[in-house]
Amino acid sequence: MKPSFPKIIAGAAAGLLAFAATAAETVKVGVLHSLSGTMAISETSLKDVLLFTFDEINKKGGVMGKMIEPVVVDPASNWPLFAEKAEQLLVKDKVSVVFGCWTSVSRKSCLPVFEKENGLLFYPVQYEGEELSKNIFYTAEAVNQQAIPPVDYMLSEGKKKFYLLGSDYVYPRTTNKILKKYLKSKGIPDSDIEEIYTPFGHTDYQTIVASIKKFAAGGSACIISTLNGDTNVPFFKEFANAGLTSENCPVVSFSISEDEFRGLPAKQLAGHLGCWTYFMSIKTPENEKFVGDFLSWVKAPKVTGVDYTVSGVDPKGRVTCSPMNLSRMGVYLWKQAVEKAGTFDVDKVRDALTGQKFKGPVCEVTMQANHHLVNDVFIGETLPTGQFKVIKTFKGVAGEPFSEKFLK
Amino acid sequence: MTRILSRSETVLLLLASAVGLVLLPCLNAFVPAGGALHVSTFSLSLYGKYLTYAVLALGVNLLWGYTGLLSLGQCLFFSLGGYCLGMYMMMNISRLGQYHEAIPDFMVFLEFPARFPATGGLPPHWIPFKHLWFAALMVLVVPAVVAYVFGFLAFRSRVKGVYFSILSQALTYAACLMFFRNDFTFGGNNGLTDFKFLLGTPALDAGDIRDPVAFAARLKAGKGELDKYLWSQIPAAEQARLAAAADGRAAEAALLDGLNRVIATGPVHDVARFKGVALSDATVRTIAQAPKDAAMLKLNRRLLEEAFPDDLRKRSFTGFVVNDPATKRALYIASGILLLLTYLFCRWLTSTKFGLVQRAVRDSENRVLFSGYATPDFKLFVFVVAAILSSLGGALFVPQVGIINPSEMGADKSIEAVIWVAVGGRGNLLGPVLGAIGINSLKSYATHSFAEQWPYILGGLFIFVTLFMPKGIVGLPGQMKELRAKLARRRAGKSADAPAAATKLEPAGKE
Repeated sequence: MKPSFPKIIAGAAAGLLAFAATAAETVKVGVLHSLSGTMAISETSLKDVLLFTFDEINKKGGVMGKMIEPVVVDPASNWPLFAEKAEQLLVKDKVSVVFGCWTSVSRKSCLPVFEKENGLLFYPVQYEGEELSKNIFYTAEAVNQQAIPPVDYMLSEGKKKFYLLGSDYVYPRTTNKILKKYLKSKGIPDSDIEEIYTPFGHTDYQTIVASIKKFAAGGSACIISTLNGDTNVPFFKEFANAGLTSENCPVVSFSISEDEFRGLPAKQLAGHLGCWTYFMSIKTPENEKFVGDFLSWVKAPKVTGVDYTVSGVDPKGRVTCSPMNLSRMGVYLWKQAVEKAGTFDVDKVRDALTGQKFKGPVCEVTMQANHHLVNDVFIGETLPTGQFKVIKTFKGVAGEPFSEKFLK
Repeated sequence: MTRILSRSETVLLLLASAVGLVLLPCLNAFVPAGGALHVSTFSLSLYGKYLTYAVLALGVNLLWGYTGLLSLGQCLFFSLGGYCLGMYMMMNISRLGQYHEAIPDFMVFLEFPARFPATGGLPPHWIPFKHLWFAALMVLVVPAVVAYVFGFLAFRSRVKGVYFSILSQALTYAACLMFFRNDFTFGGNNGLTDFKFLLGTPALDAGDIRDPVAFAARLKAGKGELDKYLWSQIPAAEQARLAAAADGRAAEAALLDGLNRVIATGPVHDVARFKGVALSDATVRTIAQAPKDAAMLKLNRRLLEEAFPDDLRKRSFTGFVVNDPATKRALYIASGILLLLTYLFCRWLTSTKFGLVQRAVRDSENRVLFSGYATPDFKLFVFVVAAILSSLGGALFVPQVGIINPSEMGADKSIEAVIWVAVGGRGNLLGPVLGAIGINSLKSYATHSFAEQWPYILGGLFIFVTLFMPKGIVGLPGQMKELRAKLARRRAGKSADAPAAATKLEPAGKE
């Protein structure tokens, strides 16, 4: 038996009406993170925390009374697709704001789109700076918020030789370039700075570790590592094999957070250092609530009643980390700015964002006129559990994208 | 002379051209946004991307469908074409990038000036790419040479079948790793991006200032409002260089840097500032639109030209802003024309005697070889032709998507292109085009509407097609016909109660 044609029309009309009714009370927000491909392992966590945050906000009445309606797209770790999806979100879905991107190349790929369509992007992952778009807000750690503090710490610990080791792409290159200038200004001679890059997916660290061993012979050396992802496994293995430890040659890694730890052998990394603006282990009532709420939310992920369960993602063993925290704070900063401006209009929200303060899980942050945050910076020691123990805190470090401004 | 195009094919091509090349661009240009029939620039540019993919698919098909060579590295040539044009567009940004240097931004941050001091930081092989004709020539030459060398070695050594596929995959992967390296001077992982202009740049160049010394003196004296303003906008470093300039050349260099900085950082278009200046109607109209980004830079240059007619040479700047709807439309049309020409070329090539040998090589290479044909030469020729076609597609792909980087050379991308051909149907010309456009439209749609599940949808489709539709979408009508005939026979067999007789009726001469 077929349903009659008029019935189908009536049904469709009713559906459309219902859709129109709900659409009026929602505000569309884009989520632009790779859910497949090489970056999916990092970026899905950000998508999860964004949906969690939307749900958190919606439960408290939404943004200016409107429920957040997430539009999740998958740019599939494909850089041209990032631009296409960004344009689709802005032009077709007419989203009010987009949260997304992880790699710098993905951000650079969609930057022209956001500028052309006058969209708004919140970018949450530590990056190399040297960029400032009026259409992007960088809740991410700038170089002076992630790289300079641990170098200062190492100098204060009496370290005199610096081995800069990184994967060969823009973030390590730029960070190390800045660090070299900074070290020189602190009186470290060129001969005591070594700079080495390895390609993505590099596995043979024998020669490099041998040269590190020679370099670190005096005991006053440390390693600043911007190695990315999987390459950390062979590196730290080789490092331990060569008899190097966090005692005689500590490694500060910029690209390993609690989330990356899930895929690394934590035992070999124990004792080495990390530097972020957030650690899951920091004990504050706000952080305990955030971590607790998130961990219980991922077991049954829903946004305002709509199911977002994802097959293949293990709700067990989930953690929170700095990019996730910065992602979430971006949503709240945007919400506050919208409510201050009284509109979703991009130009007005942008103006309202400057000076916006938000009390995050571990500290209060302020959005500056340069689209970067004033944030606390923590240096943490890695524990075998895959967590960090805070050993040093820098209060209220103002993010600055251009190195010429913080290098004197 | 035999007809190359059948009547139905001619009609189909004319129809597709009318819709694709005329109707869609018109709906984009002349129907106001918001109109029911309006085609947005976003959609048009997306279609343009699919069309360049279709050209790539035709290249894959020429190899796989017609010659039996399954190349899993065709995206290498696609990317090489893209890089060649991308280099030209990088050079076109001139001094209008983030750092306002004469060399592309990534060269500044990788400290190329220290590496290539003789050329001011520009690697020597980049220099000729400031000419479009050279870049266009390289789009043809580079992939042809790479394909010739690789093909020569592979075919001479009688590398066939899966071994050829694996080698081609290794080739593109090796190239991908090489391009990933920052030392390779092609932008490393980030590749080439942030393109602004095509066919020209609004940056001032040597020779654009009639008399640099006089112009600098005039600005410095600051008699008029505008002179004063312009002088105040020139960075202090350039002012100092002007003051110290020993000769006209040094003054010109300093003034060029200063003025380009003004053009790059604008906006200059404050009407009050240009009170006494007779601006052309076109310029006034452009100011009213309050252009941003690259379009603003273009306007800045024009304003300076019109305000200082005695000092600046008017070079009728014909460049286009890459993100302009009109430019995007033109690129779309160019992609359509390229696809049409590629289609006609492939049709012609495969219908000649050469095409016959090609198919014979596919079906039984040894037999062709023993009949006295040098099959390696035939294969080499097809391989080079397919590389050039793919490269042309890539060259039009890059300005439309705005980025080219090594991940486009990944083996996965090349395999994707093979899948388009498989799904559309290989061994004919319509299939690859349908496959490339169809799958990419589906991908664009599914990554948006089914962000979490789309890999399953596309994967399921591929498995279904390989299992049940060996001839792809294009083979579907034939398959349906066969199925219907089979069903009819079965029914007839049942009624006649003679199934054995029915099987004998199976048509003997399958293609």
